[in-house]
Amino acid sequence: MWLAACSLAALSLATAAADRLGLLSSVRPVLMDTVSPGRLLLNLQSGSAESVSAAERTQAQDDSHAAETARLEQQQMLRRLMIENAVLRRELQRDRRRFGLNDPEEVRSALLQLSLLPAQVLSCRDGLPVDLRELLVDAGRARGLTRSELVVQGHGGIVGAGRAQSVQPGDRVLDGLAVVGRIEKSARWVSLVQPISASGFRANVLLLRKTDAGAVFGARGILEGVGEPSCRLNGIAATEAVAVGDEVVAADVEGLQGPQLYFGKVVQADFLAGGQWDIRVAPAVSLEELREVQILHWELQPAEPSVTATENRRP
Amino acid sequence: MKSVLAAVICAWLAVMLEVSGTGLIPRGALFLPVICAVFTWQPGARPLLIGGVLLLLDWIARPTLLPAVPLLLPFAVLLIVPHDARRRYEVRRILRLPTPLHIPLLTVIAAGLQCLAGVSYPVLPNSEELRLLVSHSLLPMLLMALPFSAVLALLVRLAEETGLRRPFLSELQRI
Repeated sequence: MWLAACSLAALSLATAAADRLGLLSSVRPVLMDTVSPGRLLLNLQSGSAESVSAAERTQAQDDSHAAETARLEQQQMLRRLMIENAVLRRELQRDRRRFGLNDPEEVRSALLQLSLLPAQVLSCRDGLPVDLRELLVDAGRARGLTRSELVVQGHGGIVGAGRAQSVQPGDRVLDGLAVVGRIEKSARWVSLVQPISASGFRANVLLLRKTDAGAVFGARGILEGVGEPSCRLNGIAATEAVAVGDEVVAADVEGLQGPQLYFGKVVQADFLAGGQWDIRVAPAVSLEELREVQILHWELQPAEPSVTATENRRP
Repeated sequence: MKSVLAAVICAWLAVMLEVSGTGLIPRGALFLPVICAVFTWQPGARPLLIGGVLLLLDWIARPTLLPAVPLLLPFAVLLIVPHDARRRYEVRRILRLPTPLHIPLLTVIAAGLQCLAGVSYPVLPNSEELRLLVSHSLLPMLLMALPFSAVLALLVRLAEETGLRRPFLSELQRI
C-alpha cells in the first residue's frame, strides 16, 4: 500500500509537471465534457421544475380568471405581433437602403451581426489571479463556439448564436463591457478560455485619453499577456504620448472594425533610456470573481446572398 | 470490478452535482467525502489507487495550483485507516481512531489540503490571509462536506452490517 501511495505521489508530480508545460490543456475540456451530459440534464430538469411550479402557483391563485387572462394574453400577443411586424418592415426598408450604397465597407458592416452568448464559469484555477491561466465555461462547439472568440463580462442584452449562424472569430462587444480573455479550445459542451493576462494573449488596442475637450484616441499598440497581473503594451512609438490613467480599448476585433472593447487602464508608463516605452496595463476585470461570462460572436446576416446579387447587378 | 465501477459512478455523480451548482456547492464538498469513502471501503492497494486516480483526474479537470490532495491524501489514509481490517472496531487500543470517524477526518484533511493548494507560495500568506482562507474557503466547504461524510460513514457501516461490504474477505482470500 505504501508503494501504491508513493506511485500516486509520483504520478501527481508528473501530472503537475505536465500541466506546467501545458500538455493537459486539451485533456481538461474532454474531462469536463464527461460530466456535462448529467449537468445539462440536471439544469434542464431544475428549469422545467421551476417553470412547472410557477405555472401551478399561477393557476391556483388565479383559477377563476383564467378565461379573462387568456383573452388578455391573446390581445397582448396580437399587439406584440403587430409591433414586431412594423419593426421588421422598418428594418427591411433600412437594409434595402443600406445595400443600395456603393461603399463596400458599409455593406460589409451591414452584413455583420453581433451577438452575445451567456456562459457560466464552471471551473477556475484557484489561487491568486497571478497564477490564473485559464477558465472553463459551459459553452462549447454545440453552441457554436470556435477558437479565438472573445469572452466578455458585463450586463445587457444577450442574444444566443452558434456555428449554424456562421459564428466566426473576430467579434465585437457593446460599450461598457470589458474583455476577459479568448476561447483557447472548445469541446462539445465546454470551452477553455485564455485570460488576457495569460502568456500568449495578444490584441490590437488603442489608447483613449479623457481630456477637457472630451475623449481623444491616442497611439495604437499591441496588448500582450505576460502571465502577470498586469499586461504589457508594446508597439507604441517613442514619439507618442502615454500617461498613467489612459484607458486601453480594442482597435479592432480580428481585423474587423467595430465598437471598442475595454481592456483596462495604464498603470505604469516609463520611458526607457533606449528610447522605448515600458507600459503596463491593469486588466479591467478580476478573473477570480467571475461566475458568468458572455461570449461575443459575429455572424453574417441571412441577407448575404441578396447583397451579392445586388453587387453583381451593378454596372 | 464492481466496486471500481461503483466508485467511478459515485465520483462522477458528485462532480456532476458540484459542477451543476457551482454557486451553491463549494468545489470538493461532495467529491472529497466520496473519495474518502472509496479509500476506506476495502483494505488494500486497489481502493487507494482508484481513489488516487480519481482525485488526479478531478485535479486535471478542475486544477488548483498544486495537486496536493492526490499527492498527500493517500499517505494520510495509510496513517489513519488501519491496514488490518479485523482491528478496525477494536476499543482496547487507545490511539486507534474510531472507524466511523475515519471518513470525516479524511474529509477534513482533504479539504484543508485543497484550500492550501490554492495558496501561492512564492510569498507565504500572513495570518490575516490564512484567516480569510479558512473563513471563505474551508468553512463553507466543511459545512457541506462534514455532514455528507458522516452520512457516508453511516452508509458504509450499514453496508457492512447488511453484507454489501466485506472488509474481511480480502484477508480471507489472501490467506
